[in-house]
Amino acid sequence: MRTLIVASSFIAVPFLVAMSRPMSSAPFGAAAPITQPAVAGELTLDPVHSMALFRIQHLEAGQFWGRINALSGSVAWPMDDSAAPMIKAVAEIKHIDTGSEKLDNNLKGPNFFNEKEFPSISFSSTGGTRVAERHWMLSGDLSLHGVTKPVQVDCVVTGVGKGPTGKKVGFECMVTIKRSDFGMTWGIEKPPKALGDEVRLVIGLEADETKAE
Amino acid sequence: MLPEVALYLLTVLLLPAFAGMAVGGFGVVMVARRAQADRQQAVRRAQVVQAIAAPIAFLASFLLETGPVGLPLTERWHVLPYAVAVAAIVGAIASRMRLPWWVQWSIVAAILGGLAWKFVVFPASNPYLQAGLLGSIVLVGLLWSAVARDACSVGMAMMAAIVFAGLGVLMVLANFASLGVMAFAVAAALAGLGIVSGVLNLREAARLRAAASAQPVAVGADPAGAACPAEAACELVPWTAAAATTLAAIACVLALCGHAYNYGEVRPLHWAVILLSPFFALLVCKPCLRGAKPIVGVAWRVGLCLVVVLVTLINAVGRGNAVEDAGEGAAGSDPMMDMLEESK
Repeated sequence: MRTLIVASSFIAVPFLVAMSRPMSSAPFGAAAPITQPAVAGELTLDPVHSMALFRIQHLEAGQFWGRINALSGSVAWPMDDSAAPMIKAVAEIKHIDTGSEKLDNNLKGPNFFNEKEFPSISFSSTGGTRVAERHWMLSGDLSLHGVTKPVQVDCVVTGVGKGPTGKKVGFECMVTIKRSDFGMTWGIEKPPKALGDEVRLVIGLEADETKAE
Repeated sequence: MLPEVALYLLTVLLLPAFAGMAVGGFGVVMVARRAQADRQQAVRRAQVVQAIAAPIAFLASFLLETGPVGLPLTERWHVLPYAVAVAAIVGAIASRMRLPWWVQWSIVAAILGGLAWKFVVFPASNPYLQAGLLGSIVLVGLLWSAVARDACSVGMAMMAAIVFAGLGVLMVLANFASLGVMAFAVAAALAGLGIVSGVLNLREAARLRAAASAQPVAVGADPAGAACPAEAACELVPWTAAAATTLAAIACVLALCGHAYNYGEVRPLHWAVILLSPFFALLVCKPCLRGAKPIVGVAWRVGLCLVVVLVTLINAVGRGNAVEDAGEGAAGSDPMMDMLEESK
């Protein structure tokens, strides 16, 4: 009898656990938002391989690219893609890198990011809608220049690999914002058309599986 | 693109400068239009508007460049229009009072210094920096008051214009372009006010000279003294110590703001030297210039101030370039170190 109970529990427990998880075989493109992952793997961002690229139009001509290096934060994502990745990422303005020290300093100044008062940009996802396999439209809050606004971020899981400490997951996220919404208006009208209002952000993240302490 | 940039500069720089100059210059014109015996009240009113001319230029430039800023402040440097408005009110009231120069200076320096110490707080502030702001308003205010007593109104306006222009260049070097534009607007307003005062003062001198030549000169009288019978008689609207201290307080607050948000190679010494540059004007004291034409005195004082400001700016620019060159040399000089850094 005891053997029977033990044997049936071996079958029943995984079955109950599986039943309690949301169905991962939902059709792609389903619009139902999935906010709470059942068993989300806790991942820590690897700052060396995580960065945000930003693109802005200069003098109504070329699209100028810059980057902010060394993003930090965490991602909660079940490796079976059963739920949207919950991303918390922080970019410190001191890590801005345009390839020109002069331009970096200008961007850190009060006409743009005002690094002395707002030293970082942060994004925290609050939910997501599946677009395709390993492709999510995340909704979340972007805090920039002292202003927090809800944004929709297009996020793709680029791959799951192996790193020295465990599994490594890559994400690529894209979002376009209007910097004037965040109070960064210098160069849009005054001086006129020096810089565009729209900023495209391409965020490359690499996250490591967090090892249990 | 070019007409748009020209329109932008016209809007944020020339328009505010003209507004400031018009307010200050209006007072001087009103004095010049009155008969000499009937000028006392007009001079007092002109001294009040002289104290608010530069603040008006700053406020107009701020409004046109940044837009209105409400309370609570979203960024700390947005305290500037409030600080400048308060300084203008205090300066105008103190200029109106019939008080000795040192009392005017004491009142304005104590009020503005105290308010700035308490309320004008920029990032990375500390008690020493706040005490330094209070001390600099008192000290620079004293210096500028002394210069205002010694130099004529044209010289004072031109020296202040040079100082604000110098601060504007330092702000651009510190990567704070919009504050630089506002400082340039103040400088342009003061320069315009100086030109208006200069033209009207020269006209007054010519009028007095003509009046004196029409009358018989007493035996043993100094012909130069006859042209300008009393000290600064050709001076239509002399600067008050209150106005000079107000201007000094605004300059100190702007300099501290530029320093607080500095992302360039501008050192605290650069700000300090530019604020104190009118000191060098005092080296050319009045007795040395007795008998010389007033324009020579103005040229001496403004020239000395300008030299100091230019040397400081050249030093600040040269320092920035030197650091940049060193940075470019360092970049990629040791690829192994770069790789090592990346592998961490």
